[in-house]
Amino acid sequence: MIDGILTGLQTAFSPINLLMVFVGCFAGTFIGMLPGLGPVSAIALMIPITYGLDPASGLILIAGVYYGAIFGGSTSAILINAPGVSGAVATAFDGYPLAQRGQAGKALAIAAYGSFAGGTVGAILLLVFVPFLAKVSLSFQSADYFALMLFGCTAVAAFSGKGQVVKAILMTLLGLMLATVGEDPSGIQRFTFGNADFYDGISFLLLSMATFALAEALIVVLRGSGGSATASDLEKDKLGSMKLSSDEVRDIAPAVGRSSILGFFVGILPGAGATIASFLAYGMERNAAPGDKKEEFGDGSHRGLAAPETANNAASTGSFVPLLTLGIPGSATTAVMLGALLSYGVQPGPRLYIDSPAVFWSVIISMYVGNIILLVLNLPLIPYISKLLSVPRQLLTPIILFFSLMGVYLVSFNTIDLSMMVAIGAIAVVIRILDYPLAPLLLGFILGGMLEDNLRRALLIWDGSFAFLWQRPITATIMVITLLTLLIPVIGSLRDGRRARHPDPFME
Amino acid sequence: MRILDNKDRVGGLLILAFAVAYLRYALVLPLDPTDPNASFTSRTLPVGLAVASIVFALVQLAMSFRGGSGGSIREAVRGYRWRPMLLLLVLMLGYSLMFQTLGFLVSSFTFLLLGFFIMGERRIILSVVVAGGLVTLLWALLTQAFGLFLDPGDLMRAIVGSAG
Repeated sequence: MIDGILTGLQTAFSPINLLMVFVGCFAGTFIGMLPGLGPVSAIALMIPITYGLDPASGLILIAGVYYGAIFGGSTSAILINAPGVSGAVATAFDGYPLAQRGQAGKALAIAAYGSFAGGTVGAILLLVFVPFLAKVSLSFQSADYFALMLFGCTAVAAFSGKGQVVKAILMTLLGLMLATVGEDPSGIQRFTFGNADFYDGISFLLLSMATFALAEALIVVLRGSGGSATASDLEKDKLGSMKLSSDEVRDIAPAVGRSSILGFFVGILPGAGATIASFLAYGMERNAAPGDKKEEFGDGSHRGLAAPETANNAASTGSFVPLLTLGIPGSATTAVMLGALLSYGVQPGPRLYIDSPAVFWSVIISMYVGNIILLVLNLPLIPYISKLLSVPRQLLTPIILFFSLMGVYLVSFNTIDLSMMVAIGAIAVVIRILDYPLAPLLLGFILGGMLEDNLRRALLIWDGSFAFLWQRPITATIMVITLLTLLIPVIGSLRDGRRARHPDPFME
Repeated sequence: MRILDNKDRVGGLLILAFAVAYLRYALVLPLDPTDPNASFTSRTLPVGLAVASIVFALVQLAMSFRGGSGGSIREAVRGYRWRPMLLLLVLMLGYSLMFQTLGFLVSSFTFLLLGFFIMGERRIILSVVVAGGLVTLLWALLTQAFGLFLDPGDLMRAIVGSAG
């Protein structure tokens, strides 16, 4: 392990990789700040650039973009009450009121320190948990992996909002169905209808760009929202001081500590992610706050800002645990990262820890470096970067669309992919209007190939019998958890539906 | 058509239709000729997914009828600006179709210029400077720094060819 860490340090601190972290954080902050473009879009936009790099540098750049995008999302949430990412919604609750009181600089500093602390605690916990889990998961077989993939698919549904459970399951299934397009492992063409452009299946980058970047930009056009901030909102002198007093630091420190740990563990859960972590931390701190402090929540509370910011960064770090140890993405963002890794020829999972220690450790160490860069370089640059928010929407939208199209074209150099992307983007807009979540679709799509491979292998080993589902203890345990994860919210949804039809007269 | 003015219901119906069509094709997928009786064939997962999708789509439909879940589509899209969104979709489609003919530089410049216009930008000089600057910068970065080949287009080839 020590050798691995040293190799990772050497790789992470090489000049090219330090440059990658810096460029990634900077570009991520830029993109994440734009309302409508979150980490998924930011990463998807950067992937074509990373193809010319070695896997470690590519992944380091992507990790930097991820952190930067989350930080950028918080910046727009604080400055103009337009969270660039869903994980920053809770940040806006107290961040924007602070900015309105002329304390935007302080709010940004609290967000940056909270993010730094969350990322630091997350990186330390990652350092402890990942090797341990990677060792445990080395004993996993195809059957267990199949069960884990199923768990990954169903967990997304479990953590989706009220009334969204069945929709999330349907979207996961749709993603799994789309993943079957193309040549199967035995060389048989499925759902290609004789069209050679479908033989390799649908590209994950195309799907992620169409469903996130393109659809988001088009939805903003449809709603006529997300206009640029006025220049006066963003003037440097209006940001105020970025310094925190020792009393203020003492006030937020316990909240930051608690939220770091909570965020990390919520982030590990597949499907939970930064958004749920930030809301949970916000709720936890509000409930734990004494009377007078509790009333400040929603009105510019320092704790109310620090808690979700810390938790969402810690959760982003936590979401790397299932990706790096099991090869299972826990969120749409890590799903896109998994797709990127696979395209570099790197298979994440327990073997990554053994086979590619340089990639494994350098990514973990780079996360920490990324946090430092965000604090030391991005924070002072925020007044200048935030000028981007004042670029008029009528110029920004076509530019976003153009970069999305180029992102896909530069991978395949096939214009058919562009037409396919537009078609999928249009369908994604319809799906968004109907309020069906798109993240499970992407997760199902990415997991689809691995799920089928592992099921095929497990059935071959078990002579075509599904008995492995209950006869292998690890598989059976994961299957029980999967079933509970799936059934509890479905039953809850059905019960809610019944309650809506027969309301309790005493509750009226 | 009030019955269809429900987001959950229409979504459920669309997925049900997709799953039924998918199942129809899944059932006739070719099998591996060397091992047609294998326990796991090219049809196994697709059929399973289609059946599960049909079941859950029916659950969703039932919930939309019995539980009254799902908001009104008409309400949700009230005030939406369809025209620019549809025009941008057409523009993107046109870009993908004309890319090979016009090449990267001309098609991208035209795309951005028309995109700005659709979005309501009427300052022509600003639009030309932004579109031209961005496309030239990207072209220089990709071709000169990254060494990528960007198609100059059939039109450019014809012009250069006839000039030569």
